[in-house]
Amino acid sequence: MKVAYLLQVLSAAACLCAAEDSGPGWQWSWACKSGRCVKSEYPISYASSRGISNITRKSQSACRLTCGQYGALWPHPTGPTTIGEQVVAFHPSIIRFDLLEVVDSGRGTREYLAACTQLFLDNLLVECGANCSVVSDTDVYVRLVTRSQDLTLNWNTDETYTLDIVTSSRVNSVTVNIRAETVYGARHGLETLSQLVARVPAPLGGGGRGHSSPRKHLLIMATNVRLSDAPIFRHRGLMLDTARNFLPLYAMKRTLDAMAASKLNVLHWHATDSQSFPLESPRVPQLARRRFGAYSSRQVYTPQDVAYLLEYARLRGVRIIMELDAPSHAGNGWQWGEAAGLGQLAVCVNQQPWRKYCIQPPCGQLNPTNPNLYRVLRDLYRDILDIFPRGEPLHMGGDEVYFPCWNSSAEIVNWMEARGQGRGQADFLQLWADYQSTALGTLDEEVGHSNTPIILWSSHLTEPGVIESFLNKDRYIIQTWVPASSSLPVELLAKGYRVIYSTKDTWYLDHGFWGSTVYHNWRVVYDNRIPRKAGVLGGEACMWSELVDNQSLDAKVWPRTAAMAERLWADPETRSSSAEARFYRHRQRLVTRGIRADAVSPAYCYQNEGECQ
Amino acid sequence: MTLLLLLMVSFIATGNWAQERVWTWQCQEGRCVKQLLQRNETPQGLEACKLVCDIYSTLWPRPTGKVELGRVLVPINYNAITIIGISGEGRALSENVGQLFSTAADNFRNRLTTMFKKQEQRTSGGKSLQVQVTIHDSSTRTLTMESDESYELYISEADYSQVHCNIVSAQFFGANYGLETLSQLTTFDDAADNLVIMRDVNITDSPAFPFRALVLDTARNYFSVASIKRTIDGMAASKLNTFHWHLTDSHSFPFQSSTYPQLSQYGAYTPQQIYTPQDITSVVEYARARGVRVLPEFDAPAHVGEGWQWAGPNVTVCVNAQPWNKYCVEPPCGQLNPTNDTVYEILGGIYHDIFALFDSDMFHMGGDEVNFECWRSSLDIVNWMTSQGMGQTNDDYLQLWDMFQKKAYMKVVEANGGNEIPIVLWTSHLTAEGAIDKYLDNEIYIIQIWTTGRDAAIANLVNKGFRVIFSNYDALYFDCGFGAWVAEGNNWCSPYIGWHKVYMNNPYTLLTNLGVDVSPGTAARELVLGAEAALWTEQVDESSLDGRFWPRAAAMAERLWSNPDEGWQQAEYRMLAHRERLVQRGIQSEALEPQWCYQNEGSCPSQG
Repeated sequence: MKVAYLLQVLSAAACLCAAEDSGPGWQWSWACKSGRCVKSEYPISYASSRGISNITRKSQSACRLTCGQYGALWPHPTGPTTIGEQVVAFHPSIIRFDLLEVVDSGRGTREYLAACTQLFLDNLLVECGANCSVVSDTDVYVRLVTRSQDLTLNWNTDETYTLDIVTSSRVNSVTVNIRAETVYGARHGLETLSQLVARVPAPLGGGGRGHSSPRKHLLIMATNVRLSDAPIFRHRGLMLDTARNFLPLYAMKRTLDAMAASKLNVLHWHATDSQSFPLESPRVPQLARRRFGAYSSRQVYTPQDVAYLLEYARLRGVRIIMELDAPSHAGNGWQWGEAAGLGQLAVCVNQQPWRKYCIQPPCGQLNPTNPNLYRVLRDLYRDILDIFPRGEPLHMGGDEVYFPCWNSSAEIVNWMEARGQGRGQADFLQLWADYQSTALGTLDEEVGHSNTPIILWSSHLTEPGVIESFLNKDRYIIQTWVPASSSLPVELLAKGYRVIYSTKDTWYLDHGFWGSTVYHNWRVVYDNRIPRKAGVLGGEACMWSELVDNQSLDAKVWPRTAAMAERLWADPETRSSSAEARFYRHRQRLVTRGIRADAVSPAYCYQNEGECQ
Repeated sequence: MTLLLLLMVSFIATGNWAQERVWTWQCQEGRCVKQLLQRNETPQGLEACKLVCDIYSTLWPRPTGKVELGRVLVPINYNAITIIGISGEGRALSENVGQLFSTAADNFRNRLTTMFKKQEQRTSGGKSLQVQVTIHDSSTRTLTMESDESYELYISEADYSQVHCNIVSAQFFGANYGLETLSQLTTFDDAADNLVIMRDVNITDSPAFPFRALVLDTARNYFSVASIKRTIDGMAASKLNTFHWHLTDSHSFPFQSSTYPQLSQYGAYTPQQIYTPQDITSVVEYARARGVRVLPEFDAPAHVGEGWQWAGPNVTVCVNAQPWNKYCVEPPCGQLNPTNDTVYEILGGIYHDIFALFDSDMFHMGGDEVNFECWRSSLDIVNWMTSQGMGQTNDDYLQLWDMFQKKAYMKVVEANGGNEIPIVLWTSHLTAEGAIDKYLDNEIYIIQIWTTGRDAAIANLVNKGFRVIFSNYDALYFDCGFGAWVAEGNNWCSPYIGWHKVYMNNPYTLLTNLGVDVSPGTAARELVLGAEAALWTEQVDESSLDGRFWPRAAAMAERLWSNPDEGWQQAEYRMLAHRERLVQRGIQSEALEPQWCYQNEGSCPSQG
C-alpha cells in the first residue's frame, strides 16, 4: 500500500521535474551520477513518464536537491545525513505546523517558532515564485519539538537539531519532524527544511496550455530524509561598518536574511567611527541626531530602529553585538564638548595633515583625561543598555589607537606631566589602559555587575607580552585581525583568553580594492581553517565600508560570507572544490531571496557540474 | 553649570530638523568646506554648494569648449518646465528626429524627477524654465563615426518669472547631450527646499574621441533586457556612445535567431534567458534615443560551442573537450570548423538576422583567442588540410583562420545587402606583426586592442594604417581582481583596477610612449577612434553588474570626451558627485570613498 502510493507520488513528481524549464525545443535534462548532476541532451518525455525510472531525467534544481551526500544544503549538516532520491510535490499553502510539543509555559517559545514558520513559508513562496500553483493534494505536516524554554541566544545556546522527513502510511501525506533542545535549533531545522525544497513547473492542465499563459510552478520536497546537525563553532559572525558609509535599515535586514539562510548567528555592528556617528542616543543627542556626527538627518539609527533590528535578527537566529569603537576611531559626533562646557571630548578631530595623527582620515581620538568624557560615555552606555538584552557582550573596539594624536594635545600632555608620566610608548599605553578600565568601570556601574563580556580588537594592548597586565582574561575576548600565519591567536589562547578569528588575509571582505591588498575569493574564504580549541569562539568576516555602501554591499559580502558560514558551522576536512555545486546552488538561493550576491562563475559551471575545474 | 548647558543643548535639539541644521557648506577656493552654521546665517546645502563651487560645476564629463558658469542658483518650478525642439529654420522638427527628441525631453524630465526625495517637494515654487532646442539636421537618426555630437548651451535669467535655456546642435546627438548637461546644472537644494538651476551659463562642447564604448558579455552569464537598458542609462549620463554587445560565446547562445531558432533552443541557459528579436529591437531603439549605437559582436571562429549541437557532425570541433586547457583558454572549449560548408551557411543566417535587427555602421566579428590545438585535434580538419596540400604548422593554421575570416566576411557583406562594412576584430595572432599585412585590409578592419597599453604591437597596428580601439586590459578590463573561477588564486588580470587608473588611460599617451607621433594633424591621430571598457562576465551577473561598470566606466567617459591634461585629482570631487548622480538614477554604482570625503572635499587620502 505504502509502496504503491509512493510510486504514484513519484510518477507525478517525475512528470513535474521533466517539465521544468520546458520551452519550445528545450533539450536538456540532468541525472545524478556519482554525486554530480550531469547534463544530457535528452528531450524529456514527461507526458509518458510513469514510475520511478523516468525520474533520472530531471530538471537541474530537482537533480541538485537530492544528488550527493548533502544535496543542496548549505552549510552541510555535521551529523549523519541521508537524503532519499524520491521527492514529493506539494504547495506551501497546505503545510500544517504542529507546535504542540514546543514546551512553553508562557515564555514565548511557541510564539517565537510560530514567527519562524511564517518566515519559512515566506522563503518557500519566494522559491516557488510568481504563478505558484495550488495543484497538489499532498498534505505536509511539520512537527516541531523543543524542550528548553530559554530564549537567550548567546555562546552557550544549544543550536543542535535533528530533522527527518517521512512519508506516512496515510495516503498523500508527508511528516517532517524537527527536534531540538532550543527554539534556535528548531529555527535552523526549518532553514534546512527550506533547503530540502526545489521549484518545478506544475503539470500541464487537462485542456492543454496556450503559449501565452505563464507557466505555473510548484514545489517538490525531498523525502526519506534523516539528519542531525550541530555547529562546530558557536560564534559565526559578520561585521558591518555603518560609519564609513551609512547603511539603511533595509540593507541590514537584507543582510540578516542572508545570514539566516547561511546559519550565521552574530551580526557585529561597528556602528560608529571617526567619519560619522549615526547611532542616535536619546541622552546624548548631539552625537548623531543633531547632525554633529550623522551624515544627514536621514542617515541615523533611532533607538526604535535598533530595537526593531534586534528583534528582526533574533527571529532569524542571529544576535547583534554592538561595537562602540573607542578611544580611537572616534571624531565626528564628538565636536560639541567645548561649546557645551564639557571641554574637549575628543582631540585631533579632522586634523590635517592626517598622516601625522591617524591611520586614515578623518583623525580623532577620545580625550581620556577629560572626566566629562566618562559622563557622556555613561549616558551612551545607558542608552545601549536600554535596548540590548541584559548580559549581551559589548564590543569596545580598542582598534588602532595612534599615540601621536594624544601626543599632539597640550591638554593630554600636561595632564600626564602633572602625574609624573613621560611621553614614551609605555606611558601612552598606560593612558590607554587607564581609559579602558575607567570606561569599563563606568559600564559595569550602569549594568550593576561586572560580568558583561567585553570584546576588543587585537592591538598593542593585547600583545602577548603585555595583555595580562592590562586586560582580565575572564572579562575580555580578543577579536584577532592578524594574518593566518600569525601566532597571536594561539598565544592568546595559551594565556587563557577567548578568541574570535577575523583572519585578515582571508576574511577581510574589503581587501582587493585598495592599496596592495588582495581580493579573497570564496575558495580562500572557505579554505581558511581555524583551530578547534577551547577558547576559540569562532570567526567573523569583516565588511569595512570605506568603499562600500548599500549599492554594492551584497556583492561584497555575499556569497563569500556564506563560504565562511560553512567553514564555521561544519568545518569540513575537504576543501572548496568539493563544495562547489552546493555553493553555486546556495548563491542562487540568496539571489532568489533578494540578495544581490556576486556571481562566482559562468552559469555554465552551475549547469555543468565539475566541468570548470 | 555644565548640567545647565547640557539642558540647553537638549532643549534646542527638540526642535524640528530644519532648525536643527548644524552644518553649512561654503565654497572656498573651489572646494565646498563644511562649517558650523552661525546664528542668523542662511545655510547652503552640500549639493547646491557643489553645483557652484568647482570650475566645472558637477558636470561629467567636463565640457571641452567654452565653460562660462554664472555660479548663481535660481529656484525653478518643476511643474513649469517647457521643452521645445525646432529645426534650423525655426520650424517644427521632422517626424524622424521629432520622435527621438520627444523621448530625450521625457528623459530630461525623468532625470529631474529622481532629484526629489519626497513627492511633495515637486510642488515647491520657483521660476518657470523654458528650454528651446535647435537641431539643424532634420534627417539623421543613426549614430555613425561621422556624426556630429557637439552642442552649445546657454542659460540666462530672462526676466523675473522665467529662466531661458537654449541648446543648439547640428544633430540630435548633440541636442541630447545638451539636455544631459542641462540636467547636471540642476539639483534639489535641501537647504532651500527647492529645485535650483544655474543661471548665466554659456557652454560649447564636443567630444575628443568619436568612439566611447562599453562591451558587455551576455554569454558567460545572462543579463536581462532591463539591466542592459540600465547600463545604457549610465552611458547616456556619462556621454558614452557605443554599447558593444558580445552576444554569444562558447558558454551559451542567448541570441534568438529567426533563421536558426535551434541555436538558442540548444544554447540558452534556460528557455527564458534569451534575446528575442523584439528584445533586441527594443534595446536598439532605447539606445538610439539616448545617443548610443548598439554594436553587435558575433565572436567566431573560436568562442563558440553551446547552441551548435544540432548542426551535425564536424560543424563545431572540440566542444566541451577535456582537459580543457589543452584546447582553449577557459572551459568550455569549442571552435567552428572552417573546412565545413555548413558553418558558412549557418553563419550567413545568423548575420542576416543580426543585420535585420541592429543598425550599426560597423560590425564586430570577434576573432578572439583561436586555439590551433583545438583544430589540430579534429581529424576532419587535418585530413582536409592534407588534401589541400597544407601542412600542420602554426602558419598553416593561420592560413586556415584567414580563409575562415574571408569566407565569413563575404557572408557579412551578403547580409549587409552586398555592401562592405567596417569590421572590428580583437587583437590576435591574425593581427600580429607579420600576419596582419598578409591577411587583413586596413580599409575594412578596425582592431580592438586588448593587450596591455605598453604592447609594441599597438604601434605596429597604427603604423600600418589600421584604425584602433583601446581596450588595453591593464586599465579597461573591469572583470579583473576577483577569484579565479577555474583555478586557485585570483583571476588572470588581477588586481582590481581603480577609477584613477581608468581615468589616466589616455590612448594618445600610450601611443606616444610607444614612439608613435600622434600630435594634432597627424594621420596616426585620426586612426585612434577611442576606447572601450570591457566587462567579461565569468564572475558577474545581473546582481552585481552595475557595481562593476559604474562609476569606473564614467571615469573612462571623461577621458574620452574631455581628454583633460590634468590628472584625476582635479576630477575627484566631480567624480564623487557623478557617482551620486548615477545612484540617484537607479544605477547601483560602487562607492569610491566614505561619505565623509564627499562631505569634506579635499580632506581625504590620495590613493591613485
